[in-house]
Amino acid sequence: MIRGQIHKLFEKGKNKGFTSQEVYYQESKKLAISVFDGQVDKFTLSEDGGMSYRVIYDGKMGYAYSERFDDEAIDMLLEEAFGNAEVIESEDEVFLHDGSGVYTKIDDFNPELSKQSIDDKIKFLVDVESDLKAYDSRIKRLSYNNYVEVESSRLIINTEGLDVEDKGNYCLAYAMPVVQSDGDTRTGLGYDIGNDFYALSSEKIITDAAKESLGMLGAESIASTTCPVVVKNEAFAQLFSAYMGIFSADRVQKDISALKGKIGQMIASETITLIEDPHMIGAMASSSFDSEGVPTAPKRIIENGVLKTYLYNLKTAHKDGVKSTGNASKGSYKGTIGTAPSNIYIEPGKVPVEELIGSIEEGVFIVGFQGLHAGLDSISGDFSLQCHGFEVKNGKLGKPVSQITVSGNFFEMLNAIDTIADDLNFSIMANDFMGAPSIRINKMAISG
Amino acid sequence: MLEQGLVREVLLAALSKGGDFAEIYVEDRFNTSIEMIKGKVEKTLSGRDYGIGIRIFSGLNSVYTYTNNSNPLNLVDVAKKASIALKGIPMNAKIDFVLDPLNTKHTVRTNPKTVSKNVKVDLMRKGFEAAYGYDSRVNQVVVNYIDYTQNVLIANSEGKFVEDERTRTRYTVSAVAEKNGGMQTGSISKGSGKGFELYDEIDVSHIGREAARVACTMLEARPAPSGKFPVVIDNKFGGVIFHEACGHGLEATSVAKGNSVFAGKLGQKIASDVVTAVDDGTVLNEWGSANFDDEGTPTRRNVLIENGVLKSYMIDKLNGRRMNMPSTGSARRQSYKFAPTSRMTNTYILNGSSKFEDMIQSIEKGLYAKYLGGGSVNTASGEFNFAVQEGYMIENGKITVPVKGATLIGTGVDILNRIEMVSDNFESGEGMCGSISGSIPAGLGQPALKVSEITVGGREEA
Repeated sequence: MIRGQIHKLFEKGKNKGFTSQEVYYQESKKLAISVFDGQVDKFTLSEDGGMSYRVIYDGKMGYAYSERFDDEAIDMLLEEAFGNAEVIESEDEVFLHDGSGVYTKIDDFNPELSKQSIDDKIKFLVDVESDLKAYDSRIKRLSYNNYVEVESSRLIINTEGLDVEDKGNYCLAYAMPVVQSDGDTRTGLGYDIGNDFYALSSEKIITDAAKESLGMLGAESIASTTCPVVVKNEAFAQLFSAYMGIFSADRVQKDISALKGKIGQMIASETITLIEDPHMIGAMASSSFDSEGVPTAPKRIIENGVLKTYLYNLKTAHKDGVKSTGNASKGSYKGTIGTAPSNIYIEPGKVPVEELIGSIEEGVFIVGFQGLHAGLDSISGDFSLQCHGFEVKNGKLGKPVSQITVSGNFFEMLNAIDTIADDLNFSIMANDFMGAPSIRINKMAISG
Repeated sequence: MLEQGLVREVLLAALSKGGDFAEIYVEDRFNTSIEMIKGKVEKTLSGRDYGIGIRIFSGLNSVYTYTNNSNPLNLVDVAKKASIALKGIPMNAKIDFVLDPLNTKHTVRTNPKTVSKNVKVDLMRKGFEAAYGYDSRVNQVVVNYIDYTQNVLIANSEGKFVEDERTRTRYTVSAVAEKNGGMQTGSISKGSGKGFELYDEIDVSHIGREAARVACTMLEARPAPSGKFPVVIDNKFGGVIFHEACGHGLEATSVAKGNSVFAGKLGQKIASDVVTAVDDGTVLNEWGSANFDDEGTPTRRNVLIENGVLKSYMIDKLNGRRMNMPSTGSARRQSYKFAPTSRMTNTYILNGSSKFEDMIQSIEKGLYAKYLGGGSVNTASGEFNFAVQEGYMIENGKITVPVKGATLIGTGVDILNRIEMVSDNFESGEGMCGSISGSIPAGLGQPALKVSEITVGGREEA
């Protein structure tokens, strides 16, 4: 049905004078369950889809999208794509991919997931809630106790020979307990993610959520100081991911990335190797082709501190005279093409995180940042972020700390990392599906 | 958008297997966005969102489902499936719609959809030229323009049947200034619930110059100090402090289940005497206004805090059931893909009687936050943070040098009690607010405030 409408659209588009045309069609199904006080208090079931249409007209790229696919929608798409191409002033050459290249097959769709019992999924949440409340009397209630299951498929077809599709699914359960003691209130997050519901671990969720929230009870600010800092793996992944735009060739070419002209140069301490692997098994952002249908491939972006490549799509690659790195991205069918990594991680080191903490006489172990969307400047690299964690005294973790900020500059920080731990961990809270080990920096400014 | 007969049929199907309340939300929205980089249009995108959300309650439990297939058979089928999922007690409902004709208060003179893209591009070029020409250190300017028209139909099993049209437009200039390899950004926007006539009333060149001025000023800024200081937060987008520090904690979304520091505090003193705050969804053509909220309840002006005393929360129907309180017309959602919940509309701290100059003069050493960036809050603990986009030191009662990289942190309870002076220079600003029912336009505003002490996180070494 949808292919029929696409065919009709391409026919009409050709008559309108478009030299090339492409459709990116996305469909998704979602199930979300929330349990509160032993009952399902929210239940969401949905199916939706949308079509992104882009055309080349007079050498310019015009975009339009729709969530309806009837004949009226086809006419709207044609009109809007035409009108949008007409006002483009950029002189960059634009392309559509012809489907060439080697596509690595990635088979990570689990057809069983949506058939697994909804009653079992509900019971899982009911048990997480009661087990968490039984875990410690200071756990008063759960502000979130959710299960989410998403299945989505993509289809990209164009008039240049490209015709690719893929399908993926995942499930995620998470809980956030509210803990209270002596008038102090804290929260913590526990989650597990995968594509087999029966493989999700309620034990992991309960333990992580309870430890994180209870551990922060009684946290206080500390006096402003400059000291050595260890940043926990997931927190570092979130911070790093907030700066991911600096690797985008698009931003480099527009003079809004400080990495302009830095290929082949040291941009980080030699402990840092940054790897993008779109073919990782069991990862959240794996795919055999990017949002322009170009085949993806694993690569090193930073190797022992040296910047090896930017992230390219077709347009930005042509501008720099290189090949697309298969990093074209599209937030959804409503977006235009940008650049983004797939699964990305910093290669872990060889020492346990305890050794990093053990090397510090007086400092701070940061376990989480807040306000990452606001407290940092991706252009200058400056950041000043609310964070929480623990004091480190004589190589040991001490009292919990909150209501402090850590300030610095991301580029200086990358160079100042002196040790990285062996505890690589991926974060679902980061902008990208990013993993990092814990890291140590000798000097950071803390305000309290 | 959908015929009454079909709407009734869908609502009845939604109650066929269980449930005591059913609601349908139909959305048809047309979006346009244009991006201009260094004076050239780089991206334009337009398109249409269309979908239907169906929600059913049974007591405190709810089911939500959405689809973009408006085929009558599909809608009835989707509603029935949702009803089965609820596992409630079937109800023999009889629905008589009371039509609420749309007498819009928020008149739009020129629907942006009818304005040619070339006119919009010319408007963007004006902002670009003003920013780029401001100073030779400005080396990059990005101008973003968006507009949309959202038509909604909201009906429920209580007989509600309303339609509303919401028009929004927003214009943003971001300038990057560079000197000796250091880069700083300044970003200024204007958003509105008016139509394209907004641009007859405002000077976009001013927006461009202001963005460039902030970027250039910040190039000369030194690192902000660290520690606890008195802070003066100026008007307009400065209102984000109340939005983050307190507003989110007054939404039923967090209050109903006791997950807010402000739960159970109605009638109690939660702020200093000089603080009076409202959430007002009726302000004419404002960024966060609408005739009806996303549950079809007329919007209204809710006094949240009066002279420091907590007067009201912001409540939606579902959380209202848990709280035993009626809706305050505060239900909002990004689109049909989200079930609505209580959210802020336009949230303001009202004018006080202090003078801005007196506030500055009263401070020996402190921070003046002229423009704030964004922030976030944990409503359970009340801890918030937000970034200062343009800040200055206050020394011996005078505004002195610019400082960069300052983040303000604290807890809502603490900061509300530390608001020492409220000036009389109220102005509003506009932001996008993200929460469980998606990203929505939220109006903010305040006069300049003096807070006796806030933790400032800066880079200046202690």
